[in-house]
Amino acid sequence: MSALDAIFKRVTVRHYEDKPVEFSKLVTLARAAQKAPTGGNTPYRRVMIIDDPDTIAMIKKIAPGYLSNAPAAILIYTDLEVAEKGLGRLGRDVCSLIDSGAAAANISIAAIELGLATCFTKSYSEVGMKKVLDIPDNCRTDLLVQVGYPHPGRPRSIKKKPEGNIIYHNRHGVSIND
Amino acid sequence: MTDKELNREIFDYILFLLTAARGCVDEPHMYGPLRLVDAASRIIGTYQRVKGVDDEFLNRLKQLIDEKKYIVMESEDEFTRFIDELIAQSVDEMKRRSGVKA
Ligand SMILES: Cc1cc2nc3c(=O)[nH]c(=O)nc-3n(C[C@H](O)[C@H](O)[C@H](O)COP(=O)(O)O)c2cc1C
Repeated sequence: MSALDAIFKRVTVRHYEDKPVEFSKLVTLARAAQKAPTGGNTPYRRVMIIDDPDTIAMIKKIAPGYLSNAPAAILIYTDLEVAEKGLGRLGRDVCSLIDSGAAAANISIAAIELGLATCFTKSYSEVGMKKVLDIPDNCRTDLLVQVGYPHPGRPRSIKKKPEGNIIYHNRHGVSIND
Repeated sequence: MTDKELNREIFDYILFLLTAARGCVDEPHMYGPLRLVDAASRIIGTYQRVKGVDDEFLNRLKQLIDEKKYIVMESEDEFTRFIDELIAQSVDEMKRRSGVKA
């Protein structure tokens, strides 16, 4: 499958098959996440594979946005001290978030190639997530990506809003279609 | 369902409400209504698991919520109409249960 095929095939999935994801595949996804760029090559990004069923169950309880039955998840988070030391406040407050997004995108695209599907998840309690996973105070959790095998009979994906497809050319407001 | 299982479900439900409450501080305002509708579905889920309880109307309501709640991400208006529809159906059911013609 080409990278472009995977990108255009990706949709958020919230219904999964009741089967675990092989650890080797989760490791591949985590490596894909860490292959994404970081500002100034600063090593502030942390990636955690979560596949213990009891831990997933606990996360679901503190994450109102974890609406699916995905059996695994990958958390992308930032060591804020490393980010600030390496890249200043820009690194801590801006670049690291962008880089976490890039990492999550890599996961979601690589997942397609592996026959998996994903759902980005931000609707969770930061305090709760850190407590469940023993994440220290100097870290900020950025995004949880649910991972699983998509259920074949899953409901249709969400329609993109028209403004979600805006592409400009050379100047703000000048559409590529003009 | 044993008392212990019920206790666990209620505990989980409380945690859901608390984390949803925290979400309401920072999240898009329509996520509050989404969490409340989801809470309704979760309560019905617990009720369904209580031994011997089977409420056809509530079962249908839960199925409807679980199928359609995601439209909140497509259209605020459609989601609002969806909640109104859930309310309308529930009021009809309330009247039916009170012996009043719907
Ligand atoms: C930063 C971010 C946070 C998100 N958080 C959640 C979430 O907590 N729960 C959820 O079900 N979906 C979540 N989503 C998924 C979006 O709802 C989804 O991407 C959007 O509806 C577009 O659908 P698509 O991914 O199929 O194109 C999140 C997406 C992003 C980018």
